[in-house]
Amino acid sequence: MTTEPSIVCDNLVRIYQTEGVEVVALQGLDLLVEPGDLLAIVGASGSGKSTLLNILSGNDVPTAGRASVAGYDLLELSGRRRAEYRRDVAGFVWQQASHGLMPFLSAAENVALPLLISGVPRRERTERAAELLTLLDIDHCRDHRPAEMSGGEQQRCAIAVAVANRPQVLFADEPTGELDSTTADEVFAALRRTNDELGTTIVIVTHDPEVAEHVDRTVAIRDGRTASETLRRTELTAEGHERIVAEEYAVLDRAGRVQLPREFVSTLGLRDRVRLELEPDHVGVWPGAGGPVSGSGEPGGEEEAR
Amino acid sequence: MSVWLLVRRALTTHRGAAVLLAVVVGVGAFLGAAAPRWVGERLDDTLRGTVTAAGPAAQLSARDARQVQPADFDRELSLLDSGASADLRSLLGEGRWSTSTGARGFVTQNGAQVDDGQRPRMVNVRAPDDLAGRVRVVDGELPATVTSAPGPGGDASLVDAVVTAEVAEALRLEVGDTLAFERAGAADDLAPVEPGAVPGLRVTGVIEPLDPDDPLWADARTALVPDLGVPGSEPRITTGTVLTDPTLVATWAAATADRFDTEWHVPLEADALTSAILDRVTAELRQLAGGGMWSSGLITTLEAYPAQRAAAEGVVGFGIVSFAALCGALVLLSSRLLAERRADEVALARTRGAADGRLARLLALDAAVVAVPPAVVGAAAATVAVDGPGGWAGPALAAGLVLVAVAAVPVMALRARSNAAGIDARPDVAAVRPSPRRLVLEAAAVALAGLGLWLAGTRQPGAGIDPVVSLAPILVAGATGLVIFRALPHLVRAVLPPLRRARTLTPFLALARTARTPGHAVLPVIALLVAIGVAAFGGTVQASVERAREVSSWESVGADALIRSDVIRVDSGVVESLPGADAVAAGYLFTNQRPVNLDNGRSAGVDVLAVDIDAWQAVTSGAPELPAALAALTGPTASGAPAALITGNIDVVDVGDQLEVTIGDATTTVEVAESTGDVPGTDQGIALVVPLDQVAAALPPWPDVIYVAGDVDDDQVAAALGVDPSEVTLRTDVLATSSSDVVLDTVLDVFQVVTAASAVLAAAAAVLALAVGDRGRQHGLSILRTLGLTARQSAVLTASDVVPICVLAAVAGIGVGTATGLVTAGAVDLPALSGVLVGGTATVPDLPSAVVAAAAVLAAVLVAVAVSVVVGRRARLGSVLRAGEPT
Repeated sequence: MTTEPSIVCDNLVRIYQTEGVEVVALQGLDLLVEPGDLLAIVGASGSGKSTLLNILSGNDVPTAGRASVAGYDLLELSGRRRAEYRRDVAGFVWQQASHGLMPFLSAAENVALPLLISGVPRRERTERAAELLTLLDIDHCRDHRPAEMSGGEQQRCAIAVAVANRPQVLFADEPTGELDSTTADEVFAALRRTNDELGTTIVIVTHDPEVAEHVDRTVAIRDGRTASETLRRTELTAEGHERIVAEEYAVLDRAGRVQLPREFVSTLGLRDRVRLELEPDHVGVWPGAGGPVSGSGEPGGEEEAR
Repeated sequence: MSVWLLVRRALTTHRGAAVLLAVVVGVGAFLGAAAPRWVGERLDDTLRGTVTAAGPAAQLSARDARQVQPADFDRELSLLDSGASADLRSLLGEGRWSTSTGARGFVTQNGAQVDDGQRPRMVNVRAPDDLAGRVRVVDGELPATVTSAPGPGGDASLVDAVVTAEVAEALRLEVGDTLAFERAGAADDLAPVEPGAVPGLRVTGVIEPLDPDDPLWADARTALVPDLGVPGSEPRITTGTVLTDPTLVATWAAATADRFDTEWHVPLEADALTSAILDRVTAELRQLAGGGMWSSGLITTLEAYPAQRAAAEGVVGFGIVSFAALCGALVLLSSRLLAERRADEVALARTRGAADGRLARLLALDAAVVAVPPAVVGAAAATVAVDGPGGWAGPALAAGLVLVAVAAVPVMALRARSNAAGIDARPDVAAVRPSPRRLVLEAAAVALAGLGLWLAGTRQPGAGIDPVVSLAPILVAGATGLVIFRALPHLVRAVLPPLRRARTLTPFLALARTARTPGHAVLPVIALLVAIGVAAFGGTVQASVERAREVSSWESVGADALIRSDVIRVDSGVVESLPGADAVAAGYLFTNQRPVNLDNGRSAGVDVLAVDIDAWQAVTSGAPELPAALAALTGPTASGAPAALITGNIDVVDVGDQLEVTIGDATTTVEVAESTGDVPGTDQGIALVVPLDQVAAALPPWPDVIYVAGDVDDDQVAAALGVDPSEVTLRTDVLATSSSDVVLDTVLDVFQVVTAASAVLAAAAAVLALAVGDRGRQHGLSILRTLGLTARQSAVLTASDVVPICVLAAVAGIGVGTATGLVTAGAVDLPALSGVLVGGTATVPDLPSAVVAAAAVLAAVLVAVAVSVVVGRRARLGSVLRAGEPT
């Protein structure tokens, strides 16, 4: 049985105009995310990952391309449909927990707020809030206001707010960026629990390599494009222990373009032109004529991409 | 950091907030410097207007009977000028003099005995200075000589004289006529005297005035318009004035040894009069009057002026203080906006080890760089653009605004929470609650406002600008704002539980925010309270003044129209049938002094006015309060006898005395309920006002006094009753007369302008206060929009957040302003302002005006909210909330 992907980005472009200067934040980004995925997006500062997150969460509109989340075409949304999308389809967790919480409401009231916006009856709101607070292990903070909660509690409360309306996708922007490692683990555990128990697709934008190691799939973005993906799976060793195996893949876009990892390029001194050679089971990449020759030591400095 | 660097930073970093502060300080400095000058000039205008309105009465005049020696007359003017102080000399206009005989009757005309039976003719000879410069010759020539002409009794001197055409016609004179007169003093019996014993006149020309407004014509009253005598008098005498040259009339004086009545008049130039020299000038005028020769009506004219001016300054002072306070509030709000923008770099500097003291100095310099230039420009522009007396108030206000900015920016920036990522400290629980020190300060502010209000209520009028009274509305409004700020959360909490159960989002969210973090509301609440409080206070004072005028007019006329005539020969009912007449009451005046037997055995003579009390009450149904006379007449008496009023000074009658009044065959006993001034319908002197039914049997067929209710035309009333229109007094005319008082008019003008300007400034303050909180509000709305809040819900939520607070502040402002006006109105000296100089004057609220002002200010706030909603709707969530690391 095939399932429709939760998120589809096809040749996504976003161009900003800042003080008369055009900045191309996304330049033809492709991405597919399956329902129930727990995905991390990583990239250097300015690579376009926050722009992507803003677009996917419905807070920004792409310039061109296609972006679809749970069947909602994000380029074509009217104001009403966009509000509906934010309310029912996408949840958002901010790096600063205070961004996602109303400071004058208690934790329970904050969690019930999206339900109130949706017009859910009071009993249901109360039950749902209690359920989420328990799930995320902050039910003791039910009547506390954000200022009376720790950073980790605030962030878990923000996650509860974000998933209160049972969104299909939850976007998290550096959710552990301001937390110590212990608290960050708690928050990450909460996200994983949300993914496991509620089945919510979760996309996390992060710098933190440790966070990236907690997810099954990590997408790296470079210069506004998807550069590579790392897939992790758990294997049993010969001794019967579980170990995590991570494999990094370059991403081939719809136009057939591949971004070579930066270290490959620098190691072989690739620039301007490269020579490709189609082999029966792989494509070989060699430095172009006139370029410095270095490589694996094979004749002609041949480097292969599989 | 150099000043130049600060200037560059102000121009490039957070430019909007810096420009706003500069504009607010500049405009505030302009208004602050201009307002005292403008108000001072307007108040000086009232002084000049008072003097101008007094007309010739305000001039410096002297009168003497002396031999005609023109050189002496000029010398008197020179002596006055040389003896006057510089202040008085600056006011003295060009003096004039003229000398005149008493009116003399003709004996002969062209040598023939004058005999026209019933119409004797008399002539007054007047010699003004510079006759040639004041008249134009229509026929003949100007007086040039004294001739000698033979007469039956010998040669007689004939003095050349000219006459206006009107006088010539009335006296039947022609150019070339010669006149001989009886002796001086013989005018009363008009007995003919020997011709030639008195110099005669030769009419040499007919003239007309070059300037009919020349004061000469006021002195020589019958030169332009002859006096045709009193109708019905026997004989009816025609009198006119002829004009001659002083050098010629000297010959007459020498021949007769007559002393001519000579008068000098020196106008006081009102344009040069200012309040600064008023006291010195009036003291000098009193000194001159004490010398015996010179006198001026100006002393009397300005007797009431100081009290009126003090009352005026009391009211205007309130306006200026309110104005200054509102400018200060605007500067505070603008400073806060700039401080919020600077908060990030302050926080950054702190993380790099900058000490607060050094930062404060830097921020103060920063604020000075932004505020000083516009303040200087604003104050200088006000000095150039607005005429008025200089003084310390204007520059002090401008400097005060700069000081507010320089002090506020560092304090607010150091206290502001930075929004910069990584240095955004999470407020701890204690910071959410007000500190004890803050609560004590707020309680002290409330107590201070209460004390100020109490002091203002006990303050006596006439003290001029009183800071306690002037600050009272601001203090009370601010204190009320603080009380609301503290009380509101508790009140709102009571309604939160049911709202939490409801499915609607916006009321719950808005009220939850108000109940739990009311800090966002405090600035708009106080700004609106002050704005509407000022407007309501002003409305109360103005309404009270207007009401006092209204009451005064009713006390003066006793009806919308009053007819007092002895020649009414129709029933008063004819007036009731006139258009506009609603009710009529009749009164009968027995002007003969009727003996009254007092119960103490003594008697006195009085006029008696018998009035139909019930009908008079019906006539006064439109009055704001029952006229005092009518109230006394309708009240109970100790003896049970009908109440009566006594007017004028009469020692033998006291309140409570029982009087026996006999009119014709009717005798009745009344009790004097009150001794009062004039009662409408009575003549000058002592009068007893009694109910008509007590003397009904003795009433004549026609009334002497008629009180009319309604909008009637005085000419129609006069025609219907067959009386002279001058015998009809309309209350609207009396009201208009009191309304034309220059001081009162100016005060009300100034008051209205200052109040309106204050309300506009306060509306701006409220809008600015909303702008200060707008960033946070937009941020909160953006978060809610990420949760699915629709644009419509955003607008409703913004309105729910702002409007109830504004409405609450508006209602409280109306209450505070009105109550403050009622309490402090005594110190504002309403009687002096309204022209009602007797008795207490009730203060009344002007709720409609206050509501209109509140609605206007609220409308401004709502427009600001609407703009905020539209701008917020256009803003992209991504740019407002900025996911990811800050760039």
